[in-house]
Order: sequence, then structure tokens, then C-alpha cells
Amino acid sequence: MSESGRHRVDAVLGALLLAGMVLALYMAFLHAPREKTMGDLQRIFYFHVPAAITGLTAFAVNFAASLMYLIRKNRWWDSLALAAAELGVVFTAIVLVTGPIWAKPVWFVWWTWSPRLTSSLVLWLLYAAYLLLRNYVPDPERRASVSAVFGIVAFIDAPIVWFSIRWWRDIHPAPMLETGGLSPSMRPAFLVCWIAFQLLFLYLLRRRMALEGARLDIEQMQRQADMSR
Amino acid sequence: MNPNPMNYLFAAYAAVWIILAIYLYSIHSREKKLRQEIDRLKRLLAGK
Repeated sequence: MSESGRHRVDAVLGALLLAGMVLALYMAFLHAPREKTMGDLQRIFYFHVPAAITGLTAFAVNFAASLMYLIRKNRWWDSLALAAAELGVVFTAIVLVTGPIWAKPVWFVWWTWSPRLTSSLVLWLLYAAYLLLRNYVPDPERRASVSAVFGIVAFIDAPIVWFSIRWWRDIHPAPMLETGGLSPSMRPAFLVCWIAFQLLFLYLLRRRMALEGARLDIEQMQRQADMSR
Repeated sequence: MNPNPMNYLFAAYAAVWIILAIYLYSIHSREKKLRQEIDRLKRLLAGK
């Protein structure tokens, strides 16, 4: 894609994201009804759950991109894997911070070692380790291969996070979206917030990949500069 | 006494914006450093 084409996509995506975020705030705070038991506190749901789904989406993108890198050995896939892992860590950090803030007034504890909470923390730690690992492998090709293998293995925890509340008894609420536990009057607000988070993920993914592209350009220029000395 | 639940709602929303702002700032500062590095290398290569 040409430079002007990329700028046009960024502008459209930025406008959609802005509109989506404003609409998400309106839907979460004004349109969605007040929940009977938890009251306004339940509104944390409208970004806690979309952030969790977006985090898992990011790790799934990392998994697919890591696989593609091992098959194709193309650095573009490694850049995508890195950008997705970084964003997965950011969105899962949102989940791990907002979760305890929601838990304290409802469960009367900030944290409990339940399967869902523990597997989510382990997932975050695994991808934080993935990002750290990349700094300790100097050779770019080796770094990309080692990271791809690590990313594929780390993704084993993602389905455990997703299914933990179905497989084991957990203090964390049951999956409301599939079981119909979410009131129909709350669904539009949830849907808008989920779309806004996905747009945010796409926007940040593009920016992070552009950054990685510039870093690769510098690597190449440095090699040229070294050769011309 | 249990604090006002609205404080928790405010804290959670603030946390989301703070985390996103820190991440955006980190991307912006890395972009700035890379742009400076690209300019330096371009000058270096042009000077040879």
C-alpha cells in the first residue's frame, strides 16, 4: 500500500475509533440500564469484558503470526506477532487492574487465586516474558524464531483462561454471553463497547507495526552505513 | 464502612485511561527516537 493510502486508512480508522469511543461511553453510562444487585458498579463490565476479549484476540493474532513466521520466514509476520503480543499485554493489564477494583466491593477481596484469575495472570506473565525474551536475543532471525516458538507455546494458556469458568468451580461469574445471562437491554451497550475496543486494537496494532517497520529500516540503514565505512 | 461504589467505578475507568495513555506515550516516544535515528543515519549515508 502507498504512503498516502496508509494515511487515508489511518484517518478513517482514527475517525471510526473516536466515534466508537464516544458512543461506547454514552452507551455504557447513559443508555445501559442500572443493574439491580450491583447498581452502577456493574458498568465496569462494559470495558472489563471487551478488554479481556480484545486481549485474547491479540494473543490469537500473535499465535497465528508466529505460526506464519515459522512457515514463511518473513519478518512481516514477526512484526505482527510482536505488535499483537504487546497489545495483548496492555489489554490484559486493563483486565487485571479493573477486575480487582470490581471484585473488592462485590466479593470483599481484591484478589483470589481462582482458576480464571490465576490463568489470566499467568497469561499476562507469559507474554510479558515473551516481550522481555526478545531483548535478550541479538540476532534478528534467531530472535524471531525463538519468539515464534515461545508465542505458540504460551498460547496454550489462552483456551485455559476462556474455558476455566466452564471446567472448574470459580468465584468468577459464569459465561453470560453464551448462556443468555446478560439482559437483552444491556446487549447493545456491550456490543458497542466491544466494537470500540476492537477498533482501538486495530488502530494501535497499525501504529505499533509502523513503528516496528521504521525500526527494521534503521537496522538496514545501519548495516549499509557499516558496510560503507 | 463500605466506600461509595461510584468511587470504584471511577477508579476502574481512570485505570483504563491511564494504562492506555501510558502505552500511547511509550509508542510516541519510541517513534520520536526512531525518527531522530533515521535522520542521523540519512545524514551519515549522504555524507559518505
